[in-house]
This record gives sequence, C-alpha cells and structure tokens, in this order.
Amino acid sequence: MSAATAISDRLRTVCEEQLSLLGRQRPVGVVAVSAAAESGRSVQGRFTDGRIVELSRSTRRGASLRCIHRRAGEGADNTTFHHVAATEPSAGLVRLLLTRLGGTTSSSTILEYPHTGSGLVIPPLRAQDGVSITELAAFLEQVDAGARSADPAVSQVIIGFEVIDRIFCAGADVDERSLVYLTVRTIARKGPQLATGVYTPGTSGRLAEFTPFALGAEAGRRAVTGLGARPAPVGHFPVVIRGGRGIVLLHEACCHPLESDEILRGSVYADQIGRPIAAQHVTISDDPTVAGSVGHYRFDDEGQPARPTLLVENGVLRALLTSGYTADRLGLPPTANGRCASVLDPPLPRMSTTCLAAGPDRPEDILSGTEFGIYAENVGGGEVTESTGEFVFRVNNGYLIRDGRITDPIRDTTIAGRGDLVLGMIDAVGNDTALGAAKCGKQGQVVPVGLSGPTLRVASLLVGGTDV
Amino acid sequence: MFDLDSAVAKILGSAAYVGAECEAWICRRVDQNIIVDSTGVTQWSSSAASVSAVTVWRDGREGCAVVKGDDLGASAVEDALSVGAVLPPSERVARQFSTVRCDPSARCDPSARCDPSAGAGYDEDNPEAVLSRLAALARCADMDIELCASLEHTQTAFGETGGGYVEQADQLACVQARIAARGRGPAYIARQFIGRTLGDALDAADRALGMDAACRTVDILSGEPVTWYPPVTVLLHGAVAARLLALLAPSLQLDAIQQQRSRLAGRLGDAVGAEQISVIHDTTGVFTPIALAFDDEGTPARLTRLIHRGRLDSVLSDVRYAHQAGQTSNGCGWRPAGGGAVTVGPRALLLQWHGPHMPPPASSAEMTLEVVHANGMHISNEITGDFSFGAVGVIRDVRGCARNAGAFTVAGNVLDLLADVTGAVGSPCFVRRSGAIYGSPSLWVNGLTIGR
Repeated sequence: MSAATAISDRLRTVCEEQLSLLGRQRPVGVVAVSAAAESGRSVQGRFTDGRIVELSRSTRRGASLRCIHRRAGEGADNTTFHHVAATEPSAGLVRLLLTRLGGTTSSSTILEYPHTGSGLVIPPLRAQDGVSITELAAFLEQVDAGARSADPAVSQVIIGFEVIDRIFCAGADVDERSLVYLTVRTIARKGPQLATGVYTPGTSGRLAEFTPFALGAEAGRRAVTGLGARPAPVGHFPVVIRGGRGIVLLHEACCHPLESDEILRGSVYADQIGRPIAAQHVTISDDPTVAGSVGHYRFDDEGQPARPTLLVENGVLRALLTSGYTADRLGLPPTANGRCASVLDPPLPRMSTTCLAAGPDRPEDILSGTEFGIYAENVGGGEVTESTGEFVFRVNNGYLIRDGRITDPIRDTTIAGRGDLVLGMIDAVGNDTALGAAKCGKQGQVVPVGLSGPTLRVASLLVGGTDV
Repeated sequence: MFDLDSAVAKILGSAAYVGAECEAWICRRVDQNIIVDSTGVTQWSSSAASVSAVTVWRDGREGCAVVKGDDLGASAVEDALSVGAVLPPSERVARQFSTVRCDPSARCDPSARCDPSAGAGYDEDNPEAVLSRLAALARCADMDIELCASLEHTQTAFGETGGGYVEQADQLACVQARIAARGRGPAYIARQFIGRTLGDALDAADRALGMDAACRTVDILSGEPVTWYPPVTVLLHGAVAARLLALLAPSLQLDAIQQQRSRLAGRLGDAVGAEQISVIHDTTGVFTPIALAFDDEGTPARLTRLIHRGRLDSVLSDVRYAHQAGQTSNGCGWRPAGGGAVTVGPRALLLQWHGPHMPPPASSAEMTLEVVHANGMHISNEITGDFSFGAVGVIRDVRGCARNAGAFTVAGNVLDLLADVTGAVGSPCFVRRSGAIYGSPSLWVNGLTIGR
C-alpha cells in the first residue's frame, strides 16, 4: 500500500468516525452534516538577488465537522451553518458542535491538547518526498536569468513560490490535489525612472510544466515596457482586455455577485435568474474540470462532484454558485463550489475557473475596430462590492489605442465600473481563448482560481489614471 | 493540556540529537468567527491549530520547516536539515531574547490576557451577552447589516539551543460591519471595529464614529448622486487613510530597502512628509490594540518611530536584515499565521497628526469630498507607491449639507501623499489587513486625482 493510499484511508476513517460520533448523539434540528480531513505538504519561499532567501518545507493536516442547523420554532430559511475544526481531530470537535447546537456538553472539556489516544491521528505526507529543492533552485535561477535577459535595465527579480501537494477527503471522497503558483515581480530602472512587472503563472500540475527562462523573460519584458510609460488617462473609454488573466473583469463584475452567499446578502443579481444581465454574445460558466487550471478539482470541499455550471447563457442569467449551506437556504441545487482555503476554514461559495466562451472576433480586428481607448495587456487583481456591483481591477501593463493601433504604454492604473451596467457593454468577444491563474481572497480565505477566456472589449469603463 | 515549553524542549532535543543548533517557534491558535444578520446567527465557526516552525543550523547551513499539527520533533528537524543542505551557507545571527530574557507577564497587559484554560477562547465568559449585542447592532430598521465578529487567541512560545525561552498569550477581536441601504439606491460601506476582546470591539462600534455614523453615511449614499463636482477639498475617512498606510508599509521595510524595492532607500533622515506627520510601529499596546511581549524571533516588543514629524527616522527590521545592515532588529520579524519563514513587516502601524484636529477647507467657498469607502486598494503598486482605487463618497457644503458623490476613482502616489496631508480629523480608525493592523485619523489631502 502506498503512503498516499494509507493516508487516504485514514482520512476516510477520520471523517466516518466523526460523523458516526455525532450521529449517535442524535442532535435536534440538524438538516445536514458533513466532515472533511486533509493531509498535505508544501515548499514555499522567496527568491531575491539571484538566490533563495527564504525557504521552508511545511506539512499540514486537519479535520473539520460541519452542519446546517435549523433553529426550532423559526422560519424555514432561518438556519445556521456551524463549522468546527482542528489540526488534530478529536471527540472534542463533536462535543463543541453539540454545545453550539444547544446540547448540554460543557465547553470546558473541549479541545484538550494533545489529542493523542483518540485513534483519529492523521499521518502527515512526508515532506521530503515532495519537490526536489535542488531542482526548484535551478528552476528559479532560470526564471531570474530569463528576466534579466529581457533588458539590462532589469535590476531586481523577486520570485515568490509555493509547491503544494494535498490529499483532501470530503466524506468518502478522496482527491489528490497539486498546485504550483509563482509570483514573479521584476523591477526595471533607467535613471530616475522605476517600473515594475508582475507575472503570476500557476498550474494544478507540476513545476516541469513551465519553461522557466521564457516566463522570466516575460516578467522582465513587462517591467521594461513600463519604463517611459505615460500617466494613464482619466475618464470613460473603450477598454480592450487580453484574455486569460484578463477574465478577472468577469470574476469581479459578474461572478462574485453570483456567489449565493452574496445573493443572500442582497447582491445586485438577486432575483435576476432568467433575466438578461449581459450582452447577448456573452456566455459565462464556472468550470472546476478545466485541466491544468489552478481552480481544478474532482469534487468540491464539501464532496460535491465537480461539474461546469452555466451561469450566463447568451446574456441571460441561468444559475448561481452555491455551497451546501447557501443551496439549502435558497432552495437551489449545490453546484460544487463549496471551497475552503484549508480544512480549518469553513467552506464558502467560491469560483473555480471562470470561463468566458469564445466569440467570433479575431483579437486584431477588435483592436483595429477601436478608434481610441485602452488596451489592458496584463491585468492584476480586483475587488467588488457585491451589493452595489461596483468593481475595480488593476491594469499592470496597459497601452493607449489610437486609430485602431496599440501606441504608448501607460503607467499601471485601476479600471472601475458597475457590473450590472458593464456586462451589457461588452461589445466584442475574441476567438483566442487563454488560461490564467490568480488568487482570490474572501472572508480571510485565499484560494487559487482559474481564468479562461478570450480577448474582449467593453465599450466604456472608468479609467482611474492621473492624466487629466 | 498542550505544554508549550515541553514541546519546544522536544524539538530542541531532536535537533541536539543530530548535532544541530535550533530555534523552535510554536503557536497554538484558536479562532472563532460568528456572522450575524437581522435574522440571527448565520454562521459560527471555530478552529484550533498548532503550528510549529523549526530553524536549524548545522555545518554552516540554515534550514527551516513548518509543521501544522502536534507532530513535533524529529521529522521537522529532518525536514529543516534537508532544506539547509541545498541552500547556500548561512551564519546564525544571535537573537536578542536570549540575553534580554523578557518576561511576558510583565510586558503584556495582564487584564488583556486570555486564560488559556478557559475553553481556549472558544466562548467568552458570557457568549449570550456578546450574541445579544451583535444581534442588536444588526437590527437597524433602515439598513441591511451583517456583522462578522472574530476572536483570535494565540499562545506563542520561542526557544533556542542554549536555553533561551519566552512565551506569551495574546488576543485580538474584530467586528466587521457590512452596511447596505435597504430597498433604495445601491449603497454600501464596510467598517471594522477592533479591540482586545469582542466587548472592546463592540464598544468601539457603539462610539460616536461607530455604527451610527456609518449608517448615516450609507443613508446619504443611497440618495441620487450629484452629476457635477464643484471645486472640492478631499477628506479621506480614517478607514480609507489607514488602508493607504498599509500601502506605505512595504516602503518602510529594511528588506525592501536592501533589495531596491523601496523608494525610501538612502533617505534616512530626509524629510519625506508633512512636518505634522509621524508614523509609528507600536506592538506594546500603548497606541494600538496590539500588545505583545516579543515578535516571532523573540525580539522584545517596542515602539519604533519610523517617520517623526515628517523625517524618515528608521525602518522596520528583523534579525537577518538588521544584521546585514549592521543594526539590531526592532522587533518586526513575523511569521504568517500558518507558519512559514520569518519576513519583515508591520504588525501595528499608526499615522499620527501633530497639528490641530479640525476641518480646514482652505477656502470657505469650497466643498468637501469625503472619501468614505475604497475598493481595490490592495492591488496598488507597493514598489512605486502609485495607487488608484475605486471609491464612493459624500460631498458636504460649508453648511454641512451632505449629498451622495457617487462612484469615482482616486489616484496618486502614497509617498507623495505624505507631503500633501494638510490636516486631520478625529481619533484613529483601525483596519486589519494580512495579519497586521493600521490606524489613521481622517486626513485632509491635496494632490489626488479624482476620476469619474
């Protein structure tokens, strides 16, 4: 039996034991219960000044118990989602949960350390069986060399890296998950000018899938391009956004407000299912099955089998993203989007890979059809206020479009809009689908998310530059 | 009970067995989160985690390993040695705690410390009272309010080969309010109230600039937005100014200066801001809600003046980078909540204004644009200091009449902004971001570009 198989079996046992223990107590008002457990290892650190300056190996594990509890004598949708978790599972988790549900178990006996002797110990993945640090160091040196090869002006290369292997068990289902995520920051200097470049490649596969010199060169190019960039303009302009990471536009403007906990909070898309919310040629789905995407999984963190969810079909809202709890409150089916940063965190409705279906237009035609505007070549993170639909995203490498041609580079800037208005202003969708990687934070939990889609154009977005 | 000093001793013993010197950092953490809206408690989550970080030195090489779980000792030491074996040689830098021998019970405010045996922080003494106060705050007739109350209790121990050992307990509470207008135009702001206990945080929410003020602001934001701006003086609400301070922090780090990631490199002693501005880092609990005995390298907590009356006085440092610069650490070496290597960073940063606190529109004819909520500030450029974020705000005329200013963008450079602060209003507003807290009063500023 392999080590991974043995750990998988133990994780299943931990989940079964916790559920069995809770079930024997027959708690009142419980609508649904679930358990999860994980064991993982990772290597993470930072590479600067041509060498690794921070590096650590980590092992992690933990277990959680969750339930949806309907309070007696209150409305049908008046439920509470309970989540208790610990790095070392024990009967104390069950006792704590029962206390929360109104049982009589004293909280003073909860979570005694150490939890040995409970029979629920989760074995760790052996850290040294993970990625070879020698190979990792050689890989990072190649990234560094690639970045510096872009131009002598590249003065610094800073690479954050993490390589993660996890065995995750939700109920009886066990999934082996991998993640490689790099954050390559480059700095270029020319006299008093300072410019930065950012590139965040990621995969649910292995480090060997990347070509390190090439990705370094791309990160270096992004910084060098910024040298001599002019201030971004201020005002409303057409914006052409390159596909892949650029789909962060839809991640913020459309999909966060479609997460069903935000619907419960009064998102701008509440009560809009079946109604048009976007231009007719816009079809958006969430798909955790996209191979290689950092948002890939076989089942979500509540055990729902992964499958694509069609959110917007030809402009019409068709579905929401749900977790088990929010699906119960809204009377909707779970969509395999219950995700957590680690088993210690409660699952929330989260995106996996946001996909914009390809359209008919060639990217060069979209550009040539834009008289004046902004070309967002490389896009950073974003944020949205779901209840108003107001969102922003960062353009790290942008250019002015004049007479249908890409011209001057502009300094990094933020682009803003209101999702419920902007989706209707997508007037061109390209045929050049690309895949990007990002990390998304919500309620303190950061999870990897994929972004897949082609170049698109929005007829008008607010560009928040400084050149008035 | 989980015995921290025994756990540290076990790790050090495992290292000694294989001929390695060692530092062991262990953090036991209990988090509790309760989300409450007008219907009651919608989510209640708790987690207990043990995290250990082990750093070893052998044959002139340093390695680090992190274990999340109670499985301590030999495997972690082996993992750390395997890391060190492939890294370049690295000398061990002496920590300060081994000679300082700080006494956590003397440095922490005893009344603010958690009793680790009292349910490990899962339930405060009277959880019903806390839930009742949360429910009362969440029930405002005209607003949709969701409150997320979080309580983090940590016990941290740090020991090294040779006998140095320190231990401390800490607790921090935060109530985050999401306030939206009910049934009117789209309007929303978020506010955080931070304290040592949930009671402290709820008290902050009850104060004059707490929930009532936030609800009044949302009420204004739900009105029809103005279509034209007259000349305005810009006031950044404390919650917005504090988030801008978070953007300044990376430029004030010694590692960033040594690695050419900071525009403040080589400017120690220079004027970098308005004369009435100071920026301090305080983990002693005097000026901020963070009261610690030591950082994650055992360096005693202290108050550090970073910018004093406009001049750059010092920068944040940890042991490694301070040693490289021929200095001693000022106690800013921190590990991420889940463990990992020590990095330089802030834990409790505060902007202070030494001038009078008053509303100063330069001209009585000018109106005020108060920026009350920001979107996307975290995605600004921490290296150049350039920022551009989405915002909503309120326009007030000289008589105090307020109208919704709608949505707009605010762009500028945070380092330039330090010189463009012309006044301040009110007590500091604290916000939490990435494990650190940042505080600032509301600031009058020039030089920003407002886009709409």
